[in-house]
Amino acid sequence: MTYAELKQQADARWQEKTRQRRTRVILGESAPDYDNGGRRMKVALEAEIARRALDVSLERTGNFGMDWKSPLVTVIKPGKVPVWYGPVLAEDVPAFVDEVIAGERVNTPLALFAESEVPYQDVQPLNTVPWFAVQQRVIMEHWGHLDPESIWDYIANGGYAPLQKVMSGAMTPEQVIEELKASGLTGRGGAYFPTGVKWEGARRARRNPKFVMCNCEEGEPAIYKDRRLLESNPHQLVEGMLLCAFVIGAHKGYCYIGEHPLARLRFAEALRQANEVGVLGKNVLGFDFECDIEIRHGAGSYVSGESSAMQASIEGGRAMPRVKLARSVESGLWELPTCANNVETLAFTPLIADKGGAWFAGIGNGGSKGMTGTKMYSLTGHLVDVGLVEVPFGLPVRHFAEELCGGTRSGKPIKTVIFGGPTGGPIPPALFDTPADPHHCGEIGVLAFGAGGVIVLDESACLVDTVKYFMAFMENQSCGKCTPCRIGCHELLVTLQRISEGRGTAADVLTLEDMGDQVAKLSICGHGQAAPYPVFMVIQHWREELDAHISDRRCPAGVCKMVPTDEIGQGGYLLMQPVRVH
Amino acid sequence: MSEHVVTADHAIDLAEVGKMVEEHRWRRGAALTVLEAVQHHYGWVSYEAIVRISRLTDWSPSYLYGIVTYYDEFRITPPGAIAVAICNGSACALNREDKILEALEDALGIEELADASPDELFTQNKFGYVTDDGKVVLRKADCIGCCQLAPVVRVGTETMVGLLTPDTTRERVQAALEEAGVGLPRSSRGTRAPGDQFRVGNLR
Repeated sequence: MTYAELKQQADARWQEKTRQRRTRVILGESAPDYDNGGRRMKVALEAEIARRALDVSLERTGNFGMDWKSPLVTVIKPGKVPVWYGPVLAEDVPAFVDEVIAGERVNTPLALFAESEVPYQDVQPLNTVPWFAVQQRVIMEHWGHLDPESIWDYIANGGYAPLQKVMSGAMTPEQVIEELKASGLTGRGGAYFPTGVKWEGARRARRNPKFVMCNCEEGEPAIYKDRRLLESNPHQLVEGMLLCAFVIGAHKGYCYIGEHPLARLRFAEALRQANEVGVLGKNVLGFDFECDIEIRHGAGSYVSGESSAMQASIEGGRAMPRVKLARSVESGLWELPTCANNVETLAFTPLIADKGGAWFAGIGNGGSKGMTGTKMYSLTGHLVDVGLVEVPFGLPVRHFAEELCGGTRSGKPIKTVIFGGPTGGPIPPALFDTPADPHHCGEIGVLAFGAGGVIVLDESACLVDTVKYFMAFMENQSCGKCTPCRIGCHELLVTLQRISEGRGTAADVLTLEDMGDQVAKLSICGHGQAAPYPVFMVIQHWREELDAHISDRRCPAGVCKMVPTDEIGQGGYLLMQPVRVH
Repeated sequence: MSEHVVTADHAIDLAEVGKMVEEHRWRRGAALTVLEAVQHHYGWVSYEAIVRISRLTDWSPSYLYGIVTYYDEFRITPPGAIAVAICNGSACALNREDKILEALEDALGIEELADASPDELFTQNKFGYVTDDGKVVLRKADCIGCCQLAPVVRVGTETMVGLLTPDTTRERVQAALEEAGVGLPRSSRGTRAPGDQFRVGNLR
């Protein structure tokens, strides 16, 4: 089908859906909703509506980002303002149907906000929710409104129009690359390499066939932005991959998805629908261009998020990084030109092709060092407002510790905000005015800004214990190919373990610095190169806490268990410590 | 992913393996995909299955074994009837998941997991500990991704039991297990899943 036919059909369906003859009840159906009891709630709600024979249209949507209030339900009465409720659990269903769906009550205790400019029947408008007010949604604009399992909803809301624009010749591939360069879009997977430059390199590569590779491995703990994109609007990624394939001249795309069951299902469904209506396949949108996208499942390995390790995994072996003699746009999958991009990056590209690079460059902190546009972050830790946010790139860290996190669960003050998961760095409150982007955070020591995981910790956390946890993760997930990472991470872990047990010496801090330096400099891939950074940040900013463990044999936060003094033997030799090596 | 009850002698029917190989082998780089299909169907990858795949293709057993032991998702031991997996993501670990683990081990009668050293804890993703009656296996899981519920325990494949405290753990996990048709074992010492039976030397 051509784009015009698709658009016509999609518009007709969208009008039918939103015509508002009857009450629309839209259930959030993404992983956090299901995890919080959404499946059970849906069954109860369907039964209750059937029992009362209500004339209600029950619809599905993706994630809105308010994970801590999931399962979310939106109720739109004919001609009225949409009002969001949550968390609606199975137990709440009878009363909820009674009051809100069948009845006229709006402001129940479950009401969260109304999609209006002014308060609607005492329910606060969305724009005054502090959590939402600091956000600027570009990718997440339609999340929570569209059905993720319907290609028609996506097309009706402007989807595949940028692809049509490029494929019909209204915009040439060179122009797309120019716009990408002008936009300053950088790879959102953690490396922040300019996307326009990468695409240009892939387009110029002379060998064929070429491949598009999409990275949705997301194996590190406490990050879930990419999988939510696949759960909430998978066609954004399909379009991004198609655009990339057309621009660089590839006919095959691989999407590597980690252990995210719902994301795999939704993306497979999106591909099936796209094939059915002719968006994918022999003739993309009716043009003479063939493209196929294949899903590859990751099997649980953090390092397979590294691009050369992912290539090894797609080729069917162990996910071990390679020493990169050539860039992947020259020699990637099966040593052929491969354009590897993160999910979020690919989702941005159609929007930039549509609205222009200058629009994108105008968002964010004044375009300093290419950090333009918006960035998605997943917030976890001791905070209340656990969820997904999209904010202008370069928003000061302070906003994460205030508006976006909604306070801590325990009510204790915030001790640190950690950017970048297990390889990032804890930022102390004194530096909360730093803009959250790789350039500025790099200047204060957070050298691996990461893909957008934010962990907020309160005063009850011990930083030594925290970095020990991170190092245990890095040590376990090290592939073992290069020695500095394989042995170095283990020795760093043993040293941290010794300090946290109260058996550390002043020399151990020197060991951490010295060996960390070697691991960071000698490892062949980003895994080892970034592993010691959190340790450096603790030595730099939490030296007192570290020293309390060593000299006072005391954990200020009361987390680490100290070994009784009489059990301490002649410690000091690294390899003689009683830590079992597997 | 389905969990299977495996009989005492772990006898499995390998007929499906051939079909899986035929289905996927035309693809580039299909070894991982075939192994994943085997894991999905049987719930684990036995060494008989590896040998069978190896005979049907040109992948050597050691190559396949290397893949299986490299990735966390593959199991090389028969799974218990139902997996109780405690999330080991940052949010859970930093919300005192260790205390929950202690309570959980107490409830299930498993002793060993809490004593494991920090670098060994992550290895438990792969093996886990089975209760004496063989009905429940306790594992650590990589970040499950529902951080709003931290600390969280997954019972079976879909049920999440979240926002646990050491006091409520026993009760709530018991309720989830009963819903899945398994009660808490009366008494159990807890033994490590038999990972040792699987050696490269067994592959002939």
